[in-house]
Amino acid sequence: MTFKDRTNEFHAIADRIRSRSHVPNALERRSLIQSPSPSGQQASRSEFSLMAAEISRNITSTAGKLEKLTKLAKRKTLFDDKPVEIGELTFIIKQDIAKLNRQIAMLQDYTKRQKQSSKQASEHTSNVVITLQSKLADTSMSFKDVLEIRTENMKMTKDKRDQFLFSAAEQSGPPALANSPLLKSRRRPNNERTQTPVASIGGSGIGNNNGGYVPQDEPESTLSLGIPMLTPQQQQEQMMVLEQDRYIDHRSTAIESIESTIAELGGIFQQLATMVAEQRETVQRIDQNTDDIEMHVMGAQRELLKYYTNISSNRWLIIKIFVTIVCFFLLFTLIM
Amino acid sequence: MNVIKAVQHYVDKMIDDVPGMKALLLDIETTPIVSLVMTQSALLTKECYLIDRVDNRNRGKMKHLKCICFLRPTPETIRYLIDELRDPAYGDYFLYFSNTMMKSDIERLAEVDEHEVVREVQEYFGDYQAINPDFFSLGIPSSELFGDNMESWNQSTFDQTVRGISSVLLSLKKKPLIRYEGASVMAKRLAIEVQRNIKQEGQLFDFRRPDTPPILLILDRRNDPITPLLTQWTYQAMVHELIGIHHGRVDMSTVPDIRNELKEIVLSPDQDPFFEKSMYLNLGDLGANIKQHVDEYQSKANSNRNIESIADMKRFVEEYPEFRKLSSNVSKHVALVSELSRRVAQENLLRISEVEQGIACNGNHSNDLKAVQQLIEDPNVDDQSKICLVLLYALRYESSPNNSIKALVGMLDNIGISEQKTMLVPAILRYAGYRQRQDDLFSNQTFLSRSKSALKGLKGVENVYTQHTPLLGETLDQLIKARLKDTSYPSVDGTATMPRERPQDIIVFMVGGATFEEARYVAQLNASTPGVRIVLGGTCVHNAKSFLEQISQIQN
Repeated sequence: MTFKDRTNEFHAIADRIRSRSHVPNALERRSLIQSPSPSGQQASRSEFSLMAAEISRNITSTAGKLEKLTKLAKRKTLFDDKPVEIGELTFIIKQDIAKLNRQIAMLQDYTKRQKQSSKQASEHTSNVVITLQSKLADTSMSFKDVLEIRTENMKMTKDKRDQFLFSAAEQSGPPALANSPLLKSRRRPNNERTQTPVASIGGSGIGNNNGGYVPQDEPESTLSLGIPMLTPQQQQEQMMVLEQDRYIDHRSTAIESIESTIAELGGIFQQLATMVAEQRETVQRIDQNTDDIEMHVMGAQRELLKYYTNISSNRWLIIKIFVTIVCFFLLFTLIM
Repeated sequence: MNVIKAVQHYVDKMIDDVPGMKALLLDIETTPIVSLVMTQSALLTKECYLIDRVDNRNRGKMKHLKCICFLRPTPETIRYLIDELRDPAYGDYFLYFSNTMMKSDIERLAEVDEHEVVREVQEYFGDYQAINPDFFSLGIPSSELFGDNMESWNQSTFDQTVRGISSVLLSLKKKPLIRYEGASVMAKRLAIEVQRNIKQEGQLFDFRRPDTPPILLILDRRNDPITPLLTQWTYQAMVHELIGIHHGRVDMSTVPDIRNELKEIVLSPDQDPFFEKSMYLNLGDLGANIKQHVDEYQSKANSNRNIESIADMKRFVEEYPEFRKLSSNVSKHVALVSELSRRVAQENLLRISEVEQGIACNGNHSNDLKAVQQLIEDPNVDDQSKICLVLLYALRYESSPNNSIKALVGMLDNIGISEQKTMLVPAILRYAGYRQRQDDLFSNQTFLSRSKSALKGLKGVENVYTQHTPLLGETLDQLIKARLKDTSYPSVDGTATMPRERPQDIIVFMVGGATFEEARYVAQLNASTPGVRIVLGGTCVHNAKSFLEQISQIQN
């Protein structure tokens, strides 16, 4: 019962055709709306309908964006999610919805200002406004849903990541930063360097107290100039170091997570090995059973052959049967 | 390997996939396909409340219904469908096509789907009429078979045949080894095209490979022209021969004194257990069987009559629908069989059949000639039977030196049979004369087969009217025993060596129409040989009349 599903193909073609003919279609529609509006009242009504159409079109496009966002948000990959795009889209949609809301309000004002000649017409316009509002409400509701899905997903990814990086997360606190030997070795020269100006300050103080200590003049002058000279450099350096530290920290957590994954994999493989070993026993038993069966079949055949030879060599039986047949034959012929 | 089940499965899947209330739109080709395997009540139970044709444009708008379209992708149907989608009458459209669609057609449909009503587009390969569980037909009228001459296909018929066979293979999930009748140009062309189609649709035909590949055997009607000419005596074949079964329906309106509700009756082995049981029985056994059926009915009717207690009433009410069903079934079959026996008596069919079987199986020239002459002069025998007799005679004694085909044709002329019909005699000799045939149809060409048939004659036959077995039987026997010659039935691959073991699944396709006699033989073979499953198919189902029409296409 084979069949072939070509729905996707159909939809792809339909999408392509729609995208190709979208612009002329919209124009056509607008011209259709505009064409039956020669007189004044009809013109005003058509203006209203034009605005309503514009709003509804915008709602549709927003819905399209929302769909895209849903697709993005529903992806459950750990590594390839696109926070930037999602953020952008969310922002755009938020803006769109706000704008639409404003437009609808404007439309409502417009209809209130316009005095409708008939009751039916006013009813119609209010209906249109209500429809648009409900549409917009639907869109924003679904937007909210999507956002909820997104947060949930994010939570899930976080959980998942925590699961994977369990051991790594524990170590990646500030103590790890301090304990790392790499950091220590780098921090020490830093400390030394920062100590020097303090010493020089102390030294200069001593020098000042002593008074007229000429050779101390030089460090004093460096002090006055040196602090503004030294600090930016130092800050920069410290920043760089910090950044590097963070990078290294990242690397190390990544490496640790890989390590833990490999360890887990190792466990799985070990389990697999034990399973295979268990299987071997069963297979061996099956093999044994097959051998047994073969043996039994051979035995049965041998017995059958023995019986066959027994029967075929039984002359006495043949003679007996023959005599009986002859007797019966004679009997019958005599009776007949 | 049950073609009815295969198509049923498709229809079920189609309807089950769409929840809610729905309408079923069919086209002129798929209507018989669906009606052969489904009853309207079965469709109704699945919330399919409206069944209509796509070419009927006066349908009311019912937006609350979902529409299932099961269509064959012909240009005409696509055009109707495009009109339908431009102005949709239903809410949603689920399009199912019975065969592979061209990409351009999908594009055209996508273009007109402005209302966005199309939900699904699928290809369900149920593009053939499943008549019996092991017998299908492509429903191609016999007048459209030939192209310019009798060895070439009509192009559109050819395309349809290739698609039909592909759909049979796909629905049965078979990727077969294709063998064809070497002497037939049409069979060869068909075999090559089907093979090409399988290659082209590679991933569709990607099934799990069985140990022995299934075999598609393509035969040509011209190798066995006598089977459709013989008078049939088994139930299904006889109804088709004398009255005609079209898409599982029998038109009884020509029968004298028929009740109104029996003007058109349905004969389907799938829905009618009595018919399924007795469709391969010959008329004598059938009589006994019907008697039993009527007795059963009578006992039920009697038990229904004595209603004394409330419990009896309850039972009666519960059983009444079943009882009504049985009663209509009984009256249907009784009417049919009485009509058959009336026709047998009226048209001297017993005598004719005896002579026909004599010609086909034994071959005693002088006796046969005399019998044929007698029957031709008999005014009670109708013209078609006379022509069939002469055709059989001509086929049998074409090569013998002292035949009198000309004299018989002269006799036909004398009793006032039109020239158009007498021209059938040379036509059939050109179509299926002994030079065109590949196999030993009458088993009289080699010494071995002659002695075999002599032996058969010594043994005697059970029933003189059904002693003929179709040539297909012999071919299939050889194929099952893996002794079918590669030279006369080559495979399309050519180089591939034939597997020596018994094939398990065989699909036989008869170019130029199969007959119910062959279907019966295949069914019996299926029942008697375990491990072998055979499905027979043909471009159409022949009776003598349609076969004569097909031959009359040749003469011009």
